[in-house]
Amino acid sequence: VARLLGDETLAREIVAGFLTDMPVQIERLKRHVAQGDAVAAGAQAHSIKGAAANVGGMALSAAAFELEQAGRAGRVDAVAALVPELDRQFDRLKEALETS
Amino acid sequence: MKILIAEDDLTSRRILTAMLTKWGFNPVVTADGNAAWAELQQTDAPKLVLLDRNMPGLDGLELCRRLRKVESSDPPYVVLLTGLGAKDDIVQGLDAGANDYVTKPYDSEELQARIRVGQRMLELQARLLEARNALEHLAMYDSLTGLFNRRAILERLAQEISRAKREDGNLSVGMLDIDHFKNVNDACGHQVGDEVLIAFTERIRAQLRAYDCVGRYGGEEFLAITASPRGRVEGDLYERLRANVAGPIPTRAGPIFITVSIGVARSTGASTVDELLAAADVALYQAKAAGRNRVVFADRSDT
Repeated sequence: VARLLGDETLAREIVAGFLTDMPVQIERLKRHVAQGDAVAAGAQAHSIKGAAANVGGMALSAAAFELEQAGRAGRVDAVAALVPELDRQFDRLKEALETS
Repeated sequence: MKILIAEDDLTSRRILTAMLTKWGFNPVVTADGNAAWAELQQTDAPKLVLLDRNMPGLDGLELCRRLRKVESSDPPYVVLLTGLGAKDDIVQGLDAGANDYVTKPYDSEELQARIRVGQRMLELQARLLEARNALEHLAMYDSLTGLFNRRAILERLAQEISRAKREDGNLSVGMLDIDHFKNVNDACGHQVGDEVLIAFTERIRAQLRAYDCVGRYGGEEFLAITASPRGRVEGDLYERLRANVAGPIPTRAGPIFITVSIGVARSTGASTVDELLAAADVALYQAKAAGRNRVVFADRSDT
């Protein structure tokens, strides 16, 4: 992000915003999964994919992409199975962003 | 320059806003399609739009379609923001009416370049619009007098006839012909003739009311359309026109004295453009035959 903006302070602000916003998005995704709404979960995963890519979280973005595809295909079970990986990738990204 | 951002994801929105601000643009930020649509309805709305494909409520595709449905000669330039490798999204987006697309994560140089393309297209659009307006003006107005030309005044006459029918109002047309104008051109040259035409136009205009209009019908022939609200007549407007024209016009060849003959026809409920013009023409001929410098009404034998 810093490379994109060429502004360290602004980049930190955006990353901080991302770290507060992302758990809300992941929560929302889990709610859709619990309700068995694969399509809504897929749409939510699409947003996560874009947000993660924008802060350089390519692994999280890739995990979200898999989830998005499963969601679009309407496969609730597959979506549910992919959620733990999404959680794991977010934790890893969070750690990396917080220590950088 | 204002640029509209429509993006539901907080992080993307913040990055876009920061980049645009840094590049000297004035970002107008919205978080969903409905807010973006509302923003685009404002006067002086942004002409360049960065639109996320997926948003709750009104999504990017639907917003594009809605924008393209609006008849506009100056539509906004839309750049769709899509995820990487979402080829279907891109195809759908362009088909829905987006002008271009950028994939996330944004590449700063690429996004800047695409915005420059948008600026170029909008500039081109503005210049095209300007040229069209200039042509429209040329096609409607007589270049010497600035009055409606023949085509425009006849179009206006057709409109006024249907309006008078609709509103049951009074409508008259006056055919005005400068007396012995050919003598001015022959004796003093066409440039002096032009000066006379311009001065004549000013004198006519000074007498007409806001809801009357006049056009140059031929060389020294002019057509006036005078409409009045229901129950009121134009009174002696044409007599005033005639009287106001008489009097020396200062020209480079010295003062020239001209007069005008006028034939007036009043519209009845069923009049057509042709009938009115023919009746005014006959009245004008009668005015000429009776000695010129006078007004003759087609439907009155006592004048």
